[in-house]
Amino acid sequence: MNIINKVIDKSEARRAMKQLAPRPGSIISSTNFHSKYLFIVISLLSYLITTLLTSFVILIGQPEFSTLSIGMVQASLISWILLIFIIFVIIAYIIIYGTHTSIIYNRNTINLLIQLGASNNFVINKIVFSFTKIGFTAGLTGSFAGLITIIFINPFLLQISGLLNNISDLVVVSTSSIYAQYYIYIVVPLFIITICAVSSYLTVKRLVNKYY
Amino acid sequence: MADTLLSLENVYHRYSISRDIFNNINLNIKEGDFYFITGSSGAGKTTFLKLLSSSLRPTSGNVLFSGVNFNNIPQNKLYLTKRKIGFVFQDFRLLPHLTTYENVALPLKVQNKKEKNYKKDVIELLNWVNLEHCTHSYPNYLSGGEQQRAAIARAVISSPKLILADEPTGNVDNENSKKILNLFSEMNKLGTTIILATHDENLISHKRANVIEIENNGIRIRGK
Repeated sequence: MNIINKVIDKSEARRAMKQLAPRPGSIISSTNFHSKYLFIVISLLSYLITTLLTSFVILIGQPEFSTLSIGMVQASLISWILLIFIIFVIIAYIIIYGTHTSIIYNRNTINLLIQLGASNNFVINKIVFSFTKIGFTAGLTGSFAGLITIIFINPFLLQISGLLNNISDLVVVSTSSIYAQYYIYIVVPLFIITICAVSSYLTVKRLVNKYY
Repeated sequence: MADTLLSLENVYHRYSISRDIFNNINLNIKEGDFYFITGSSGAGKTTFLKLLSSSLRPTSGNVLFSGVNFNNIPQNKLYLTKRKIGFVFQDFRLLPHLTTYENVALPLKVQNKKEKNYKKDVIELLNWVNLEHCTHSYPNYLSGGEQQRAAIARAVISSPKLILADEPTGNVDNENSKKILNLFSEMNKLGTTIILATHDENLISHKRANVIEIENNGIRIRGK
């Protein structure tokens, strides 16, 4: 019984300490809807970039691709790069728009922080951190979903495509060839984090320095 | 003889061409003084406090805090001055998504201080304002008096030289008003300069202090 009492006492003491000094929360809150919306959209775009890039890298590794004319290769390369660039621009635009919304939503909090002696850099860092966090989680989620898609779905799709076209040497993507594209699953989230951090930093810096 | 903490020199402020708020105000406030600011609604009590807290620059004239002219401080360095001034709002302005403890600790957090260095101070301060039972509670679960005491604790936590209070008893009952006034009196006894804006003459009668009356775009000092 003594041991049980000791455990209960310790647990109560911990609870009392937690009551006295709770874990600090995030100063600048973000609406759940706002964060979830950004997370979902950026995850989807990250997924799109990952699958596009991986399929492109897989395609240029195929012997059929080398038989194409240089002009065709260049054209496909440019269109792919353009498509990925447009997706990155869309992500940057979403983040800029999201940063504006976040500042409007949190303007009372920001006013209070400034009144309490927060420097502009403090406010800027808090907001940029929240967007970088969204970029990090969404980038990784999209990239991971892309990896899963390539591993499990793409081979079947290519098999079906091969059967329909009556191609004897099926272009089946093996697991080893997917492993060779691993760097894409690291580079894409890194790019997305960078875009989120840079675009939110530039927007929030301009707005905070203008109004505070 | 106490040093001058706050000086207003020929302060003139207007909101628009047709609306003058202050016309040639001169005032000296010494360290450890207690002042009430009174005046009718719209007379400019809040604007006056904003001028004193560096949140607003006067149209012309100088406001000096500890001998430093606010006009000479660059906008991006004003936060260092604001840290020396505590501000209590009529509507409390506690952040609803933070607990009472986190709200009180906020001025220290924005100064990037480590929590382990201030945790004890915050708990002691919460005991001082009789909010030890609300440490973990969110502001929406506190009464008006408790919210205002939390707001006062937040203004005091960084040991400011000056505390400005904008109608701190405006949203609480008489009993809580007296408690809040007592808290300000205790802080004043410890050497903090207090400037408290109110239109409650009953509250003013409870404390021997100088009164700044704002009227006709100017001020009039009523002695203790």
